[in-house]
Amino acid sequence: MTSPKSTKDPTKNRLTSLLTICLLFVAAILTKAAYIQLIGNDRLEKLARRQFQSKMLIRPRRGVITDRNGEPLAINVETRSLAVSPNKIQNKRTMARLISKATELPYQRILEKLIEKREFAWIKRHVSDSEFERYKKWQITTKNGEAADGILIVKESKRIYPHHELAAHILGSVNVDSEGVEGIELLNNEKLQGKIVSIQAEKDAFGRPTFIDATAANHVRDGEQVTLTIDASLQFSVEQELRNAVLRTNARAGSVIVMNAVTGEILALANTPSFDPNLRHASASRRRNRVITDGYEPGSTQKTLLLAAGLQHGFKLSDKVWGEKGSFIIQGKRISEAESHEKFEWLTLKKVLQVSSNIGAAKLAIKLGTDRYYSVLKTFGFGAKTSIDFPGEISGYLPPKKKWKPLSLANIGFGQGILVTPLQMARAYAAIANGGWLVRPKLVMDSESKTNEQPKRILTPKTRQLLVEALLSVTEEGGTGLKAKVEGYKIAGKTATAQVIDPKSKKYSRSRYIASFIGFPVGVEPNIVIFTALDQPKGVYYASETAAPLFKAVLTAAANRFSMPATMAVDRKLAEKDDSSVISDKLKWSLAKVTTSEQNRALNWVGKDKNGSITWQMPPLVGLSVREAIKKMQGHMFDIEISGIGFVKTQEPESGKPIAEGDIVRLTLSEE
Amino acid sequence: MITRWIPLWVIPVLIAVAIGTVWLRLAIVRTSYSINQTDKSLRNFQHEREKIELKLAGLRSPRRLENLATKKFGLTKPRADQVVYLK
Repeated sequence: MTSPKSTKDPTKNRLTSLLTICLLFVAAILTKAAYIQLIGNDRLEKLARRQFQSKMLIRPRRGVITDRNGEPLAINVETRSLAVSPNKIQNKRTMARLISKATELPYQRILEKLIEKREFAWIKRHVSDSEFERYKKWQITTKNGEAADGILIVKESKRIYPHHELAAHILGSVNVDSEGVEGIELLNNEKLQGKIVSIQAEKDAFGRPTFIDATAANHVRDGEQVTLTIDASLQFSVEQELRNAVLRTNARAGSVIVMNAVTGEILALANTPSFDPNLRHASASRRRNRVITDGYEPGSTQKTLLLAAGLQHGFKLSDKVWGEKGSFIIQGKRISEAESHEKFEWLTLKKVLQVSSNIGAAKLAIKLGTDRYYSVLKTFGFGAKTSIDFPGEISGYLPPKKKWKPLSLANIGFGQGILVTPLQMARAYAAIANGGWLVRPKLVMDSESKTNEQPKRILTPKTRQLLVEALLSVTEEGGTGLKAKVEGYKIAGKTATAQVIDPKSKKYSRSRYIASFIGFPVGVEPNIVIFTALDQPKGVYYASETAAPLFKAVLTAAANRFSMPATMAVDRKLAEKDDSSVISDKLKWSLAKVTTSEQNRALNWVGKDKNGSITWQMPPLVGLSVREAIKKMQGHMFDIEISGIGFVKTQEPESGKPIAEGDIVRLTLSEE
Repeated sequence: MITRWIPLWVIPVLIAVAIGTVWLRLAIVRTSYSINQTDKSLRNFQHEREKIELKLAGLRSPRRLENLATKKFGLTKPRADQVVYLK
């Protein structure tokens, strides 16, 4: 008889044991799974998150820069860049060779990037469309534009300046990552750049983002628009006129500022030589915004500020100084006039400015004294930044008062021994133009200064009025600024032909000058001040022959752009001379000239009425076209009311009747 | 036997909840794809707009307009006496 134990099937026992082991193993896995699911494991959690989550860096669009009328000056376009993921590239040498052929970059440089143990490396940024097409040929991308293994085509935003050189010195430029490095791009970088946000997104099996952190995504803020104070159309004209003047005078460089004297808004600012901000290899000398970053010795334009100081301290325009017949010795040094034939005797202060006498200015400065002159120059803002907050602005140099000896005082009187920026000079003259207020120059609309500087009155109305009177004489017969005059406007301004220090000899050069003119039309809106300067003009270098005509051209452009009506009745003698349709350069006059071919139709001056208003004799306008009729009446403060179309049928007042400035002229035309 | 511990109606409810959860999850994924697609279209439109703006800026460029005016239409800058300000 066999025992029951011996009858047990050994195979069954083994299977049971195996099953038990398997069950235990499964139980262990399940326990571990339950543990991971319920208790958690930081390391595994991180691994899982890395697998299905990704971090996305959302780079906002850079803000647009426009002119004061909304004309875009700096915009963005989408472009493609070539990058590689070196770890994913198998045959690095072959790929480096292909990339080198396609991009025309050195093979060695690309190979160095490919053999680095990195996830990502840039090869070429902002690839042009034509170059991108070439990539297909070299199998960097497929025919559909998809990248080969290990190659990345990254879409990026690129800054574009659609008008190229226009306002380049104001706009500045950005680097390859669209970060401002110069000019307004740098000054307003934070505002333009917007807010870069890093957000979490869940990926699907194909790596496509599915769930995006919506709250974080909402924080992405595109860059804000920056509106400049400049007028693109005027800027273009000014740049063109400046370029022509630099070519004509063979000057080394030139600058122009057109500024609203009341608000401080800069309407145009140009420098030559210039550069195209779309191209990255312009030299530093071309990129420099000279009117803000460069100083110069102002020369005779400083005499106006000396006169301002004199008038503020009780001097009169009729006060006289002895002109020393062209030679004045002070501290053993001789001061002479700009021209050796100028041997002035007694000069009124007004005449000192009109003929730009160095000796007259030196003597006035000495009479005025260091303390008074220094304090007035300080109130004009010299030796300090203008608060325009433009990158690279310099303060200039006003020597400390204790260093002012009689000779240096005399020199500073006529604009030597002091360093100013063109912007400081324009601002100082703006104070004369606007009634005596020192304003903060602005390049960005609604910009707040870091110092929150408010306009302050620095000249009394009386001083301002006398200064304007003296400056007007400069552009009249006998003055140095005659060629700055635009017919129909009263121009107050001052020329300067300032000597430049020779860097080798450290003495004033007798062949290098900075010719400048600063001035403004009186009594017109907008109230603008214009600075023009030419650095080292060749040949006839005098400001009266170089910078003054440039001023005239710029003012003409501004008058056309802003429709600035003429303020003066037209010089009839000039009008009579002009019987040709072609206007010569010499006689390129009048924005409001009366045609004189029909003498009897002209507006005749009668006298003044009881209120002191100028009275004219109404010309016959019947039969004329509207354009012709308006032309007859232009240049005066008449209110012209027109009804109908066609030719003038009736007029009121009638022909021959008196009409005063401010009266209404009603014209009825032939057709209703 | 299982009905001794769980009421019968719970089973279809559980199945419905499970299906509902999966359906909801799929709907969310679908909507996400749709949002991403729309976002991509939006970006494409923005880029198209940028391109058009660039083209427009080029067309409005003062240099181009001046060239057109002088070379194509034979215009010249107005003489001073040709400028008329209405007011």
